[in-house]
Amino acid sequence: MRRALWLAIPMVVWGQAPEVTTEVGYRALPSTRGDWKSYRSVDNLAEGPRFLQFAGAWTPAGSRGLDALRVTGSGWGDPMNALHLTMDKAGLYRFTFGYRNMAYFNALPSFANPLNAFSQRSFDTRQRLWNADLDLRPGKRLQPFLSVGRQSSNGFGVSPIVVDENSYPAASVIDNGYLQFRGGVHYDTERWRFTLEQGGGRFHDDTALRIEERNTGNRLLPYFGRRLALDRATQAYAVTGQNVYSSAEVTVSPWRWVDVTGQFFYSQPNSDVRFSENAQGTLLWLETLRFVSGQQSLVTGYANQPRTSGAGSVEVRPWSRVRILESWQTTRMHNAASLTGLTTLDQRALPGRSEGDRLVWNESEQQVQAWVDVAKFLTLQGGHRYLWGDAGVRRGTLSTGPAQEAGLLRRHVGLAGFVLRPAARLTLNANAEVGRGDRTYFRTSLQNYERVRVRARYRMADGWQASGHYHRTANGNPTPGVNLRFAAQQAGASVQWTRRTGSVTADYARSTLWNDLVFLDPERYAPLRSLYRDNAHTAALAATWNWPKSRGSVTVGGSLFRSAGSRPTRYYQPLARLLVPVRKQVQLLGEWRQVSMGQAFYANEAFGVQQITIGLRLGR
Amino acid sequence: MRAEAGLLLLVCWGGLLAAPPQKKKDRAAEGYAGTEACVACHEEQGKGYAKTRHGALEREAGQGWKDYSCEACHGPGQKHGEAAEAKFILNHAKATPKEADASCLGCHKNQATHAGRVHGSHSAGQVGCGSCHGVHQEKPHAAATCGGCHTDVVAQFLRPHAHRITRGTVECVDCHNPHGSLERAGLRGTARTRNNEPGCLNCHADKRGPFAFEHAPMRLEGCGSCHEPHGSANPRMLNRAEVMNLCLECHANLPAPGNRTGTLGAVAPGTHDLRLPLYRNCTTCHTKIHGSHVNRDFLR
Repeated sequence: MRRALWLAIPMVVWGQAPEVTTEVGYRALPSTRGDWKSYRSVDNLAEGPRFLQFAGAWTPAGSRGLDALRVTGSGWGDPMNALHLTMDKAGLYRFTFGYRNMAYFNALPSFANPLNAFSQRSFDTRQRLWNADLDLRPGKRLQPFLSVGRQSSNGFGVSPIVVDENSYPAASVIDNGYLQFRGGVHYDTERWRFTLEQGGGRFHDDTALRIEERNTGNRLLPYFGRRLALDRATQAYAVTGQNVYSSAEVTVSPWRWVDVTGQFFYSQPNSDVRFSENAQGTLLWLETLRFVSGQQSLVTGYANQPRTSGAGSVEVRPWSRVRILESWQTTRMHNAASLTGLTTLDQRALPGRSEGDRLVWNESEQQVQAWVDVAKFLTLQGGHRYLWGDAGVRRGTLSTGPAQEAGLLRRHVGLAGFVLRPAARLTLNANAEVGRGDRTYFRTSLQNYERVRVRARYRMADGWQASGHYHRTANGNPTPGVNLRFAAQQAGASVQWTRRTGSVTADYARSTLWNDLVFLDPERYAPLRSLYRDNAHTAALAATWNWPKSRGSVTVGGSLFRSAGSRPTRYYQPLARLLVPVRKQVQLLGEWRQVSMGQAFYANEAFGVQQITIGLRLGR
Repeated sequence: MRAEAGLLLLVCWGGLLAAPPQKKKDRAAEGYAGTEACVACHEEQGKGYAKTRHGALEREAGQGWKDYSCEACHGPGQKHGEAAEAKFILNHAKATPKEADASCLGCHKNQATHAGRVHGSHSAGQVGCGSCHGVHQEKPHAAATCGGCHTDVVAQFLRPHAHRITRGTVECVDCHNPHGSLERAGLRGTARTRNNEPGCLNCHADKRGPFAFEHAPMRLEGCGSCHEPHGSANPRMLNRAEVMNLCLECHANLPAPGNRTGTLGAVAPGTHDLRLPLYRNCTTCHTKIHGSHVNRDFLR
């Protein structure tokens, strides 16, 4: 797997003259079987000519304005493509520009209503992100910086329009975006370092839904002998928002053995909402148990969400072998909203409604940690963390309690761990957390939990490296009525061998997850058990043989995932890749890959697709 | 807004003009040997280093290390050169992470990306700078570097529904700050972000809000309360095989609100017959589950 990742982003070739490496090719899908929409939701690589990847670098000698210019890109013609550019001049500036274009397709009936022919909750969109960052005087005492970026998402989909007691799949036009900008200054001295930053953004969401022909919706049963349906409907959002934030960070080192840090952050995002809905058909107005043929709604409103966060820490190193860190952080957030709505039924206006909502959240955390170098090869660590907080949210629609529900958080966590380096090539790292709490926000939140992580790495001679890991998290909430039991663990091993003649990377991981919780059926109030299990095997292999005295290579491998439990799944991706030298700076490349997936409970979403890519690699 | 931006620019550029010049040092008198002497023996490292970003130290006088750039990291090398013994020079590969990092952080300690460094798990676990960064040869800023140690996470990305880190458009560092963060797991910030780094919302901006009707778990516990961000066998990278279980484990009607546990949202928002497939995927109707601008039950 990691070898494949290395292949994905070729090393930039450096030198004083511009140097470029390019891969172009054509991808064919000679064999496709199964559900094409599932394939697109999971992998989504299609046929056609492709500009697979390119990398270029220029390091002009003696230039007064440029040390290096580097450009990389990948996937042009594919659903996901990127371009990254970096220019820098030491001590003067560093400029980076990034562009990413991601096609995001998702249409899985198992996620929505499998009985409805429409692929509702599906979308076919493009996300485009770009950012430009400019750091001035990098490495100098005073370093101003500026940044601007934009994210946008546009496309089409199917999303239900919910009118009273039925939901109707409707064509949706998705259009949202966020423009953000920030700027500030870093100031560094030997003892004082601070950063002042201010930024903000503007947001819009103009998503719209439309139904233009009779639609009977998801509900198959009639109401009082009549089948609910929409003949025509539109739903339109016009949401705009903006955000301004300020932040400050400071690090002070009054003595060599003390570091004091502080951070402050304040933001006040807000949203303005315009929403309209127009529906015609056979509708039921449940409040009056009356059938109507037309409904119009108009909603306007706003939401404000001021947030203040602060953090501070003191790191003390009283002796060369001891490091003590005391830290504290807090955050306070208050979301307040007000809406005004007007509804007409069969062209008769109902009394206007005004609605407000609040969400209040205060949370703090205090932690003390200590590290002791018992010997040069052994470091022990231990500590304690205390979290406390409170939250207030509106009560549920059917709840009979007070208008605001109050949630509390109280949790003590013990921390321990060690880093062992018995030999220069062997590292063993372990840490553990044991948490005990008597208040938690949600039934599934961490309460009484234990978490252990162990990681070992051994660099052997002759290019061999082996590593292993073991993780376990167990969580429980013994409160009557909750009785949560959760356990997850993963163990794995990895072996790598790298020589001039080739390389091998092999990974294997075994994971299990078990979650057990009881809830009441919302209609019949009968207890139901939510038992989620996931027992998975994951393996990856990449073996590469480099041809002697040439730039050719053969790579075989791939990955597999098999799981049993609540959603048994198999997912295979075998891979073979060939590089054949044609001329000094020209190589022929070929790649075969198969992607196949199957799920026992959702057999109709299985697929298997073969991909063959043939092309040229140009450059050194 | 404009006034604030103007003030910021004034502070930046005013400070720029007022910044005092840095003093030049006589390196030779302080026991430094010079790059030429280093490269005479360590030719391969010298060639590789010159091509990296650090190589600019050698070419530019402004940083104060021109002609002595090797010793900016390895310390004064005159004694090492004269005695030809390894013990007189700092070898980062053989030094403890703490010793090696002290050398790097002498220059890099207060970079913006290092905010929260002391809280980070890399710092706590004594993972040195050299584990990820190559000084003599730059490593690609890609998942391969992270995957070298985090083999457990690599395995999670091999599940069918995952962020496509192999396609060059999503990288580990888009969501995690490897230098540290105030959030757990070095996250750059989720919907419950405490800092100003975008994290999940950088791509999923439509979930940013603020919403008139917030879904509390997203703010209080973040995206991970419902999603497996690295990869899952479940559609939309959910924590459970069916949406119904994910929702009703919290909206369980157990225990009654107001009891001593104080858990939120215990009463289910509707009375639906779970035997019908329609109702087993709650988000078929509760489409705005991340937060709604107009409807308190997230129906529109």
